[in-house]
Amino acid sequence: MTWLTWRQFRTQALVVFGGLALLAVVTIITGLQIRQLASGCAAPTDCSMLVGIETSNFVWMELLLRGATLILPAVTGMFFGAPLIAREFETGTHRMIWTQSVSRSRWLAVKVLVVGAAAVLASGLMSWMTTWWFGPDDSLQMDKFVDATFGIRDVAPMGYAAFAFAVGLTAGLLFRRVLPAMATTLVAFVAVRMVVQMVVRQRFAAPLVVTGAFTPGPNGPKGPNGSWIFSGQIFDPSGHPVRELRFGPGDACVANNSCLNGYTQRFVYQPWSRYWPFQWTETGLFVVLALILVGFCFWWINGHRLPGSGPRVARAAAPRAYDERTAHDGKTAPRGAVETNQPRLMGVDR
Amino acid sequence: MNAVLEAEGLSKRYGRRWALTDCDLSIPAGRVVGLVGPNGAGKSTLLNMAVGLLPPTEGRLDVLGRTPKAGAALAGVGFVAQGTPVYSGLSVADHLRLGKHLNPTWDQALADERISRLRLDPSQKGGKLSGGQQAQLALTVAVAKRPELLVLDEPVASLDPLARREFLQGLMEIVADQEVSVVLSSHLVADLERVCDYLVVLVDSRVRIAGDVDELLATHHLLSGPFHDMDRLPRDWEVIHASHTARQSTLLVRSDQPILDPSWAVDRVSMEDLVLAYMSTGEGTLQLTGAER
Repeated sequence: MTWLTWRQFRTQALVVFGGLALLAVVTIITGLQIRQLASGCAAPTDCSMLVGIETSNFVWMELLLRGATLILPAVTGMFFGAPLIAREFETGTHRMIWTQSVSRSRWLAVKVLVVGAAAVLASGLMSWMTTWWFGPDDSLQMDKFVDATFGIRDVAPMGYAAFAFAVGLTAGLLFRRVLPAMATTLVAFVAVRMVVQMVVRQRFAAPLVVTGAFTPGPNGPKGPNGSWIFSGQIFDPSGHPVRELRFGPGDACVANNSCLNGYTQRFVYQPWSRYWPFQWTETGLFVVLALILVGFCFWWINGHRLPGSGPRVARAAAPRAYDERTAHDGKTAPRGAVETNQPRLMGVDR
Repeated sequence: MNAVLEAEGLSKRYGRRWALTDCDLSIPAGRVVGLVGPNGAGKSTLLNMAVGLLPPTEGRLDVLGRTPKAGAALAGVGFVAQGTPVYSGLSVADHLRLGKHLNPTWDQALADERISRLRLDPSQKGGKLSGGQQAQLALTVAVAKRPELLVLDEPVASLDPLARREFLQGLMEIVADQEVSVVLSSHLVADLERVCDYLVVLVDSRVRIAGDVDELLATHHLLSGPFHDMDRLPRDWEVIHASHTARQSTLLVRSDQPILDPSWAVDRVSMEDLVLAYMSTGEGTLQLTGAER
């Protein structure tokens, strides 16, 4: 079973892992260059070289890694997961493979373990490369926890890959066609991933609130370091929320720089210390969803509403009952035309 | 010997349509059974249930003394599915390896011998084989499993006459060499005439008749004679099919007794006549030709 699974899967595996290997070479070369730059700067605030990653020569690499890490789970879901069962149905080979001396559960178990593990491994490697490459930048900007970046760092992509694979597997089993299964996988995966990122993740734990003096400008505090900030509302000295700060040259406070005295800023945020708990929670959430789907597939494949037999063939006309005597009673056939020695005609279907 | 396949009140429904209704069947071991019927009669449904690919809606089904369970490993039964599917991306050798890995009773020598006799190139991909070669490969995988029962669902339906003949010849050799019971379905009687010694006719999701071919041929008679009133026929005659012209009646009659009435000319029935008579309901335009042609 393992041999067969590998034999059927090896082309896809070679494409994905070959691509990852090529990407790894480029990642290591450019990543080492970035580290050389990073070692040259002492204080994070002084490191204009690194902040400039986005505008420097490495911008293509950055886009490539971000994009690849973002879409790889969806790609493996579509190309590893969706065809796994759907292709068997499409070619009719399920009727060959499910009539060997191996149970369907075992067949599916080996397929899920080998191919599913490959999907998770691919995204794990991808995320590892990306996390390493962005290491100096992340430690400088401290934005790993923020929305989009969170999902392309560390372990979360492995959870996504497991889930996307399970969605593909399930869609393939239900639709029995590769293309609709792939399309469904993409749509369902992106939808769930977005809902979790935008709505669910921030609710993993109640956010913290901190209030302090408001200091504007690029060098002012942006809230607690490395944290994921939902809001930074500014309040005036009397405690009312401020929508817009408006001071003109005519104001007296401009001269002695005291306009902001008494203003406070209130941050609602998830602290950096929750980064890893959140990573594991999110990964776990997607892994649990994946396990539920895979469990459903095992239940379904063991005889629950499996497809009808064979390709749909047009029903050939069976020899039709036709009472000849009625025709004669109605005198539609010429009498006497038929002799006693009736000629032997060929029957229907001949 | 025991029955290889035994069904009792077996029924299968797809949505609202009954594909098989109240099927009672007992197929003895050691036979080559032809399952005939028009397309859509329920042949594939019956065979797919027999190998556990489909669960029955109602009734009982035993194959080799066990109830086929959906999803369970299928031991003792070799199955060639409709359209004889093979993996287009796997080579002939890969298919044999697949069979070896998935079946503890695999007979590699038998498989190799068949492949070389069929002059199949082991490195050829399944998708590049001709229809006849694909069917032969599927049969090889099913046979090398060394099954007690070989089930073939319309294996020759899509083959040209030559490939059809070669396939059936291969099947006959297998039957001659091994102790294996065979159930083979087809909508063409001519395919089965040469190989089968037991016949099951399935029409409109029901079993119309089942029995030993020689016995069936001996108890069915093709009668022709002057126009007869159907109500005055002997009571122990079961009229399967009747067609009348103004002066003549042609009947296909089932009777254990020889036909003695001199007003009837009696012909031996061919298997094709028999099947066609059961497939058409009652009286009709069907002209039966008799065994001598």
